[in-house]
Amino acid sequence: MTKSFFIVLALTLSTNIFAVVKPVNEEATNTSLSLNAFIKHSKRWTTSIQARLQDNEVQSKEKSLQLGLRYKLASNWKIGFFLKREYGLRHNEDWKWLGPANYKWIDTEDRGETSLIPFVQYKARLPFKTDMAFKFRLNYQHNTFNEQEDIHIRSGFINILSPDFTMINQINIIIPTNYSQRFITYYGYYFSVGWQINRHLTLGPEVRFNQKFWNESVSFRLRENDTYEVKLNNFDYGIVLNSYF
Amino acid sequence: MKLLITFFILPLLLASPAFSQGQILKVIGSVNISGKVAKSGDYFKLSQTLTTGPKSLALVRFASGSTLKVNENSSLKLEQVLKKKKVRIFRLLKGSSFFKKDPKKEEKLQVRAKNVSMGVRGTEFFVSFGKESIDDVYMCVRSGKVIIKGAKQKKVTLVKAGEGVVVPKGLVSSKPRPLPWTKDLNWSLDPKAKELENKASIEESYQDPIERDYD
Repeated sequence: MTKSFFIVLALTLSTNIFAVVKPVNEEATNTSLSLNAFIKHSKRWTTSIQARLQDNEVQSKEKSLQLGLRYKLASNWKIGFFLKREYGLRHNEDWKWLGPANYKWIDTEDRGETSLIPFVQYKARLPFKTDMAFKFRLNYQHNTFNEQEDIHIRSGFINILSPDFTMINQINIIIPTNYSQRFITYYGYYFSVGWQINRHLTLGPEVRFNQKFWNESVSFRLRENDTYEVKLNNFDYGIVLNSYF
Repeated sequence: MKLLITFFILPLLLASPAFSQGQILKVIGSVNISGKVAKSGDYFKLSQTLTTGPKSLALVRFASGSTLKVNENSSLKLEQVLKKKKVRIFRLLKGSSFFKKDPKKEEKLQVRAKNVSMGVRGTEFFVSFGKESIDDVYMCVRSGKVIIKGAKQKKVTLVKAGEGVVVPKGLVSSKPRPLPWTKDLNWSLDPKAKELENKASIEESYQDPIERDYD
């Protein structure tokens, strides 16, 4: 009796020790490269092509290509539409069951997702400092891969430090509209300095601090009858090359 | 003889319309003065407006030695001449113009563009409305100094040679900055020059935080 009790206890303990059931909070330092081209066709119309590669320490490697069409409605207002193809995104459902009491974030490096993103943007110079502009952009993003929809708010200040240097400070937040139990699933701060190499090119470093949240995996809830919330703190640093034509 | 010149001939010259009017040295394309087609040799007089069409320009010289070049798609009015104070006041209504004052002459040059006023202490400068935001006023100085004041400025801004400013909506001037691209502008005011048209745009050279996308 005593022997069987210890065998059962040992098995239970070993399962608890080695099993991965809930994801844990993590921290990562990532590197990135962003290449943006803005092509002005007329006073009102601009198209853009934007590519980004991000080598992630924890998450899968991310890459994206975004095509944009931007229309200037009035001196301070722009509207437009982005078509974005992304690889390496992590969603709630990517916390997958691999076996009894064994879960893992799946590798999504080769999984392509397409998003449709209409946006509206407001920019205005500060009345007391005309070299500085306030920016507010609201994107409504529909991901055709999982039908998830969210609102992206990107707001901040653009500061023309000198004819050759521009400083950008922005905050980003993501508000899901049809998924997640959280109101906000992404908080980010973005800083970059652009050096005007010539009339067509700017180059500079960028730094991002952001926090991403996941919860509510359906497979987890059904199997474990439990909930969790996990976050990933990222520090991204990289290079941004903007070209203007 | 000196007495004759001082008391008779000089006052006559100053009082004559020739003091306040400029003569057109060169015309390229379609140029008119207050609605009438202008040609080289015509006079640009007080209260008249000189207007240029696309791919056109006009070069005007005044008796005081001041010269100006009105670029394409522009309108410039000779608004006021204060003979006693030796002040000549222009109003840029549209487009852009180059101004050059003879530094040896006492004449004062003033340029107004909407609510922005510029007083010339130096010799060569360029004034332009924005192409995108037509209420914005751009100005840069090649030599000498220019003081500029927007509608909502309490103090004037002093702009030195090689510096430029933008006055968004004509309200408050930006900080003057050394802008090497001022050299890209075609400053030539020589009627014999092969190339007189200015193809460089002051606006393109500014990083306009409103127009430009940084994402």
